[in-house]
Amino acid sequence: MKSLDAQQAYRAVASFLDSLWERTRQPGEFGLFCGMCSYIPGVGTADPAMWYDWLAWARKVHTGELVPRATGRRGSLTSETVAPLEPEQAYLAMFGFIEEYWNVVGRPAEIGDVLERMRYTPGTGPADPSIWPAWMTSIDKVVTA
Amino acid sequence: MLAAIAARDYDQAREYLKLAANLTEDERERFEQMISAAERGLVPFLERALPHIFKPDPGHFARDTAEARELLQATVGEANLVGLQKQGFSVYQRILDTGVQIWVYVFNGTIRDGGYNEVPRTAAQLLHQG
Repeated sequence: MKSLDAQQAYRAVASFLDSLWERTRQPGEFGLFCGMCSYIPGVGTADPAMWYDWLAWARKVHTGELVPRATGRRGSLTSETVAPLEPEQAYLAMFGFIEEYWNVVGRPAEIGDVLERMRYTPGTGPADPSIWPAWMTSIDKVVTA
Repeated sequence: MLAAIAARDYDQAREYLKLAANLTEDERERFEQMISAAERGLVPFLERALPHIFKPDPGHFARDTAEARELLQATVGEANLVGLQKQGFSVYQRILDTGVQIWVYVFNGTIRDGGYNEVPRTAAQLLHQG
């Protein structure tokens, strides 16, 4: 599997989140988050700040340093500042990205449940075995688009 | 003060505000706006969503001020409804005289996200339909 640039990886994230939401189609905290993360070609993320939050987490996978939120510094990040990501790296960046939002908005249980299913153990994969194939499908969609 | 607002006792809320010490001018203005917004029946913010809504990042108001709250809350009205997003939340927008677009997401009767776009997005884009 080839590595993904920051935009390809984000499109995989948006596709993956949407596929998780489609399993239940329940309006709620997770659906709201998925909506904010939607990717609009040629425009960006539905909530414009989500793109920059993603870049901060994608960059952290390589550098180990997270550009802190709510400091005004994330807005200067660009996709060029993020090195290509392997599927596992992109997955870990996505987990951090979701977890940060969950913490900021008071840890709603619905998103907490999703994070529990997604929790990743190196060598084993996500806690819910159905998660990794869904992630790889989302990546395939982006790579073959 | 918040309990008085919740109980729709706005005169009492204003009394508490008068008596409140150690409030900054920003905080005082914000509470005055909260009382006024509640009095006018505007859709409130979900308190725990505020750190996500107000932050110095693209598309958002950098600070939680009375002015920013008013711009967002005043956008939520029938005339500004763009539609229902597929995940079940309502999307509102309006264009200010400056050309800036205010956008707001409402779910379960509270404002859950919102900010502004320097370059306005179309209805389809706001509803994430590309």
